[in-house]
Amino acid sequence: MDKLDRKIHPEYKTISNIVIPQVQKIKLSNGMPIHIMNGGSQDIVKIDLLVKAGAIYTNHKLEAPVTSIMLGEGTKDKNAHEIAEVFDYYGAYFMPSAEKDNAFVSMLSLNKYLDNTLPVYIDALTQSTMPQKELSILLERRKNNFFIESEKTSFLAREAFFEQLFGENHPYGLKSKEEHYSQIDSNILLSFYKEHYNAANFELVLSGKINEAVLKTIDINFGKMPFAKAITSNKIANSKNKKKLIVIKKSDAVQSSIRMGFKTVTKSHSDFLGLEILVTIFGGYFGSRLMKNIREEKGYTYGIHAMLVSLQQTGYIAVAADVKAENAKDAVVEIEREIEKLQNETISEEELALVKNFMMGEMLQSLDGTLSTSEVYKGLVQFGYGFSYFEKLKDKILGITAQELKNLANKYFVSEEMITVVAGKY
Amino acid sequence: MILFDKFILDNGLKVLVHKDKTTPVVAFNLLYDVGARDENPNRTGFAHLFEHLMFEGSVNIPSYDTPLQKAGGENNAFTNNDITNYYITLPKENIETAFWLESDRMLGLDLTQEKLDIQKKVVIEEFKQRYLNQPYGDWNLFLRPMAYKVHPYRWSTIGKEISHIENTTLQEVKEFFFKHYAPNNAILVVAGNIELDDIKNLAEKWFGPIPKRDIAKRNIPQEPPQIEARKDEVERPVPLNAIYQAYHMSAKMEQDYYATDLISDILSNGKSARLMQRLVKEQKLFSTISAYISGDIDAGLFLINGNLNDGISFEDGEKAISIELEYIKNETIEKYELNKVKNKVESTLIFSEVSVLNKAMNLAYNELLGDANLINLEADQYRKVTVEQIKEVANKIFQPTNCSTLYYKKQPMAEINIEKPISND
Repeated sequence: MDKLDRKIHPEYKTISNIVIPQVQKIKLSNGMPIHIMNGGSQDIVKIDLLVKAGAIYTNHKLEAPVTSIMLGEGTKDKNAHEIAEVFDYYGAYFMPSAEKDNAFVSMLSLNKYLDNTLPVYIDALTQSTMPQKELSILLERRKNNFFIESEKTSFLAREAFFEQLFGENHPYGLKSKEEHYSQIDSNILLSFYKEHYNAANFELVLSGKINEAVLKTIDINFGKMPFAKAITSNKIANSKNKKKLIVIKKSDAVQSSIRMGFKTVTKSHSDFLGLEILVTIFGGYFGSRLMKNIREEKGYTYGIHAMLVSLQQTGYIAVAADVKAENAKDAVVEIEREIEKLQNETISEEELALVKNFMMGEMLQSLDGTLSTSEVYKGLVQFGYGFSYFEKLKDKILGITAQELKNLANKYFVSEEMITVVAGKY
Repeated sequence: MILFDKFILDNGLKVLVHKDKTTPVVAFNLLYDVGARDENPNRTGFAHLFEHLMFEGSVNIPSYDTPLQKAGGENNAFTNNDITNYYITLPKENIETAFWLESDRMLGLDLTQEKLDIQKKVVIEEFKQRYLNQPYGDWNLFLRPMAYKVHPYRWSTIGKEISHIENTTLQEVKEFFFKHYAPNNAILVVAGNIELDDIKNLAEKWFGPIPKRDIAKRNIPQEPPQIEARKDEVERPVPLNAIYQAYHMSAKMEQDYYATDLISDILSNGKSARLMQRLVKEQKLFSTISAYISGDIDAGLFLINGNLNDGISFEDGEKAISIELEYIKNETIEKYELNKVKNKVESTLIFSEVSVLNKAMNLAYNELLGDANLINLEADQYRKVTVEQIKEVANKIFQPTNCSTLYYKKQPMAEINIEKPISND
């Protein structure tokens, strides 16, 4: 046998093909669209109901998220305790949440208990009464949580960043304030609920072991829901930002939280795919430019990340890190320097090849298991895409050149529009 | 049911293989039988700091991460009181890269003073980010040494204090490696759409040549029974007062463990659970409250943490908790409620087996406990618990003399000043 040479990387393949999960698209009896991903090794069902009921449709910080949470807090037939009791008894997780654009009413259940859990899910979704008694308790608890969050430099930085990026009056940029918690009542929520939570605003994603019996149960429960008026968001002008630095001083902070970034295009723009690759190089994985510089060379932080996010109306690029307070200024300078490097220097073939392979592997890994796959799909279906978006991303990753990335950096990393927020010491 | 094969190399490395045809990804999980409980009391946080150094290059491979990223893989690791666990996920075609990288860092590390100094800094920032720069972040740093006087669980994985991390020397790091990072002190699990024979060949090829080393038998002083109620308090700039309680409970492999875990579920798993319904919603004493077990291998802790609503005294909050514990001690729980928490255990186990990486981690951990197949018996262990056992175990644990209580008192918070924005218009 040959002597083992441990210095040489054993043969490996670059991934050029990814088997995309099959998604079946059908319509229920009432015309409601559903997306079905049948597979996995466990007898579980995950329901993700997309509802056009995110913050974008409101002018109040709490209206959308609190409406979604209140779904499970009482219906005409059941009080909050009774609803919770059913989900807990059958080991199911009922998980309503609302984000900037959409709400998701999700449930994870074992197949064998779906006949027990789904009717209660439907009851919560369609018959909620948003009882004031439960609402008062919820708001009090959330207010307390807000006070706790407000002691975190990361929270202060994030809130100020979105306020600066999107504007203090845009629903994407609204900051939490103490008075918000006394401005919401059951009637406000009920009217938002009636307007948004109906089949015209629903899109259902089903994953797990989806057999005929499951589909029948789903159709019985969802297929009769009435359609009311479909909602469209009132498009708000996408104004440009001016370069700005916001410092939030917190005298007892031992670290400073940095948020830096700018607005950019949405997922529907043809440059978005290339930007996904650029932002990965910049700060999207452990070997990224930012991690190498700020963590592995300087030791200023436990972690630094850059992310590219698409919302319906706009996208944004953001850098986030909690750094040693004394090094906050230097960290900001270094982040800016890394941006300039992307604009002025062409990325080496070696680094580009590495990132391509890494991203292909990451795509493959994001499809490991039912739960992970449905999470990925949720992120696509909001923009009207299916896994065909993955095909396009794959082609982009394999085909992109160093020059193209440099052009993107110059076009989209616009330092004159960059918002920088530092909370802690600076 | 998670099926697996097992074999042991001549050097003592245990290898488990689980086949899952449904995933394109392979999980490669390497568990070392060393954790914070194995640390020198003057070098706490060492096992975790060491974990960071494992990513700084090994004898033959200057960078750990780069080749893995080239092969489309991702990795991470965690350290707790009992174990240090390293894991990789990557496309199944590139599985050999994982064997190459992991075997080389088991063989030896390429340590330098500079690398150590950087990782000390990184870990100190992790310490601050997780424990110091967060409201309530440091409660466990106070509660642990109250509950444990002898056992090394008295310090947290991150370490007792920052100076222990700062004072670490390169020599100590090297000694730690030779003491604990040996094939006969590790368990490897490979899971995915793979063949047993291939894994046997690769394991033999890459790990086979690494010599076995003498691993000193673990000799950890076990905590003597606590015989007096322990109380302490700390003041911090936080918005709400909080109570933290710790009761000593059984070790992981003792029969009482399952009943104890179910008691914590009865109290606080899910919105329908007792503490949420009674102390938060009905009596409005707490803003949040939870009960859970630490899950350690040696005798662990049953923990209750709650944030008190404004205007509620520590005494009233503590009394309300104690009334709930007395119910469990004195009144036989309804079969319905016991079934509810058992069902939830069952579903949680099934949900956790969706990801191939979770399966690999759980197999490795159960093998360390004595037999990987425990993973398939776990749901039954919980099913077997009776209403009588719940009462009996509650009576053993919930004694005032078995409890450490920390009052986390609020003091005025620092001012937050938003300075006038600096912009270039």
